[in-house]
This record gives sequence, C-alpha cells and structure tokens, in this order.
Amino acid sequence: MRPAPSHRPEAVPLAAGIGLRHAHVLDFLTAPQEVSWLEVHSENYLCAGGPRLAQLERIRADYPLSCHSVALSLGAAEGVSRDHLARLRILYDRFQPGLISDHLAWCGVEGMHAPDLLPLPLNGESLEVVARNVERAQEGLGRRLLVENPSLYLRFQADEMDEADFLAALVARTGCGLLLDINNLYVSCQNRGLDAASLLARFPAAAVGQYHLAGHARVMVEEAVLLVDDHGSPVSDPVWALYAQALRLIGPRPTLVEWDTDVPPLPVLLGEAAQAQALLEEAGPC
Amino acid sequence: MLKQLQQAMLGAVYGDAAGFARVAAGLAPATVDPVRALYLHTATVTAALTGVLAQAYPAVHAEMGEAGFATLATRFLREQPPALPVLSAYGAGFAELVPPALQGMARLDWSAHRAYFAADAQALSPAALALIPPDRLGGLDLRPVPSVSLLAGVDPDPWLPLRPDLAVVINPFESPPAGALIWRGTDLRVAACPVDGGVLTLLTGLAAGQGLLAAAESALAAGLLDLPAALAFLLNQGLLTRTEDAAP
Repeated sequence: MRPAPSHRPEAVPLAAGIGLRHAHVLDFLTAPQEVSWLEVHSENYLCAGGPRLAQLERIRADYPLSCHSVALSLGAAEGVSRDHLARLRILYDRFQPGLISDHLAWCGVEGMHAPDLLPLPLNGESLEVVARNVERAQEGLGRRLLVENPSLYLRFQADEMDEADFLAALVARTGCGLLLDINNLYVSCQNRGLDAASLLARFPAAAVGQYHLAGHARVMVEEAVLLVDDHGSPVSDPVWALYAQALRLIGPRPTLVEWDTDVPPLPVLLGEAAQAQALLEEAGPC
Repeated sequence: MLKQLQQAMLGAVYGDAAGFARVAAGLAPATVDPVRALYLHTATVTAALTGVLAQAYPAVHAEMGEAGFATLATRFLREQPPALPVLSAYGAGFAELVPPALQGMARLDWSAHRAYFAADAQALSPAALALIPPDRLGGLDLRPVPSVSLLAGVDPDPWLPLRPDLAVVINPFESPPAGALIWRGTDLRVAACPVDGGVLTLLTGLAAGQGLLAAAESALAAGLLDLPAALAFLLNQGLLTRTEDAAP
C-alpha cells in the first residue's frame, strides 16, 4: 500500500496525462506511476459510496485530476438538467478537479437518456441553446467549463457554420474554454469530407485549454470508409501529425491520451502518453 | 425545430422507424451514406446499454450466452430506456424480463450490483457493541448497512460459482437456508451467503425499524437457534450500523 498522502495536487500541469480506467486502478493503488495527471469520466463516479469513490480518493491524493463528463447534454433544446448539475457539483466539490469538460453534443430529451454524444445542427438556433446551457452549467458547477468537439458522423441540411466558427462564437458568448480533441477533429473531417488541417487553423487558440488524443477504427460501409471514434487502439499517425500541427498553431496544452475499449496493459497507455509528452516538450517549455 | 429534431433522433436511436426516417430526411450528403452513418448512433446506444446490463447481470449474461442476452437487452432498453445519465442505476427492471428460471439469479445479480454502489456507513464493530451498557442493548436502534439486500426464498448456492468476483463467505448457519443475504463488507468487497429463517427475520425486523429486543424476539419465534452467534456474524461482517451512524 502507498504511504498516506502528504499533499493533494490541484492544477493540471502542462504535460501529458491519461484517462484512468477501472482496469488500471490497482496499478495506481499499488505503485506510483510515471504520468503527470489523470482524467476520469465524471458519471462513472456518481454513486452514493463504495470502492470507486474510495479508490479515487486515494489516487487523487497523489495526482492532479481532470473530470470529463459525458452527459451534461449541452446541446439539449430543453436545457441542462439541474439534478445532473447538482450531482456533478457534489463530485467536483469533493475531488476538486483542476479542469472540467463536456461535449458539444446532447444525450437526452424529457427524462430519457441515450449513452451517446448525439450531434446537433451547427446553426444559430443551436448556438443560442448551447450558449444558454453552457452558461447554466458554468454557474451550476461553479467552474469554467471546457467544451469538446465530438466525433461527427453526420451533416445536417440545417448546418449554417462549421465547428470552428460555432465554437468561437460559443467562447465569445459564454467565456467557456475548449477541449480540442485532435482525434475527433480528424474523424469528423474524414467522415464529413472536410480538411482537418484547415479547420484546426481556425479554432480560437486562446480558448483551447486541453487536448485529447485517442485511437479510432476504420469501418468499411459499402465502398466508403467510416472512421469510428472507438478509443480502442493507439493514436494513429495522421492524428499525431495533426497534434503536432496544433502544438505549432495553438501551443502546448495539457494533453490527455484516452483508451476506452480493448484497454491494454497500463505500460502501453503510458507509452502513448510519453509520446505526447515528447511532442509537448519539443513544442516549447513545459 | 431543434427540440423536434432531438425527439425524433432519440426515438431513432431506440429503434423508432418513424423517428429514424424523419432525422434521415434532414441529413446532408457526407463521405458515407447518411442513413448508414445515422444507424451508427443506434448501434452505439444499443451496444453501450447492453454492456451496462451485462456488467450489472454477469451471472445471467453467462447463463444466457452472448446472443440470447443481447436480444433480451435490446428489448429491455427499447421498452425501458434510461431515465438518468447515471448508468450504474440503470437496469433494475431487467430481472423481471429474464426467463423465469433465471429470475432468482437476476435478483441476486442486481442486489450485488446495488451493494457495490450503495452508500457508505459506519459499521458497528463487536468492540463498539461491547462498550454499550447491557441495560441499553434491548432498545438499541440498529439497522442493516445500506448495501444489504435480503432475498427471501432465493437460494444463492447455484449463483455463487458464477460470481468469482464476490468475497467468499462460508455459510455460518446450521438451519436450512431460507433466503440470500448480500452486502458490501468493510473491505469494500461485495459478499453473499445463504441465511436461515431466523436471521432473515432478525434483519428484516431491524430494517423495519424494530429495536434489537423486538427484532430478536421475532427471530427466535421464527426459529433462530443461536442469537449470540447470529449477532456475532452480523457484526463481524460489518452488516449493522447504529441509526445515528448511518449515512444520510
């Protein structure tokens, strides 16, 4: 067992971290690991008690933490759930994450929830809805929120702008930050026939507070390739290249490597984080 | 417009053909056929919730096999989609949908799942009990800790070998089992064992708010053979808390 903690690190450093998954919890409980910070999916810890919260308390004592929620439903026309905000607020007040984030997406209507990041048309009506929801979320959580670009598989006839313009307007309206998921950007652009490098260049750099990296799958659909954001493999070469471009254009930011399906042994994930760390250090002082 | 689109899309991901068609009509061309891409969201939701149910019902999953479980899970999630984005709370009603022969097993699985996530409570230790003056023991207000489930008439023995993740607890009771007891121990592991009718009555009485004396009298009337041994077991396993120590 690890010794009792002497401090609780607060800020997420300008370094590479990994997503903490259940398969690796024991690794962290039994020995210090070579990683600068950790991120958890907030909803996985919305429980009354038990081992998950106890384990996270112990791990949190030694690592800076980011909390990444997946169900604020920032794109929901009916608004964000006050109950869910209250649940997350309790979690965040307890664990004091250095960063919190959720997605430009929605996941429920009228008391019915779907565990997916569902897309919404990028237009003026959606911007009104998302801006209102982000403001309520930031107020309810008592913290600045980073909003992540999700992986997109669809285009709507009602789209009026692209993600970069939409997110820039959202930042201007709400003061929120952005979590730029490089893998999602690549997946979305490939699936929607857009140029990722061009879109990346138009993201509001000053608002970007964190990067995400992950692997994706290639699925053949008739004659076409659909990229699926499954977080089940190493970061692909095109995504590493896009990340390097982001470091040049936007600058170094805390960078998280996620791996959620077919989770490998911890050293594999730490190796991915080390690769991100090397690129961060090449890009500037960390 | 956005609200109507979202209602239709939520229907689509839960298998509603009309909702699917309505959303598909508003999609623009992309690299892949938009209808096939839209179906990805339906598949994602189905796979995610099937996985959630499989985690909550591992023994039922093992008994039914992958395909049978997936078919039943798809039916359940379309009939009873989650109301909350807290998926550890999803699936309570699934036990009622499984084949009758597996319903006891399903209730045991759900009780173990529930125990894992239940609120913490300060268990009353045997040492702490010993400090209480004897004249106050009869009126002592004890409750089972929040993780406890009592399943009368359910035999856990066929289920336990399917749950190697649970802590092994040797059945300490000599009388024939009358039900199953599931809880999360002080080591935070979920445990289960058969219980006889007396212990079942004792714990049911305490859960209903009876004082220790009244619950013990009911238990003895129900055939409890050894009250001190039963209390020692419950205390050693961290199953009891004083009401003032219970989590809100």
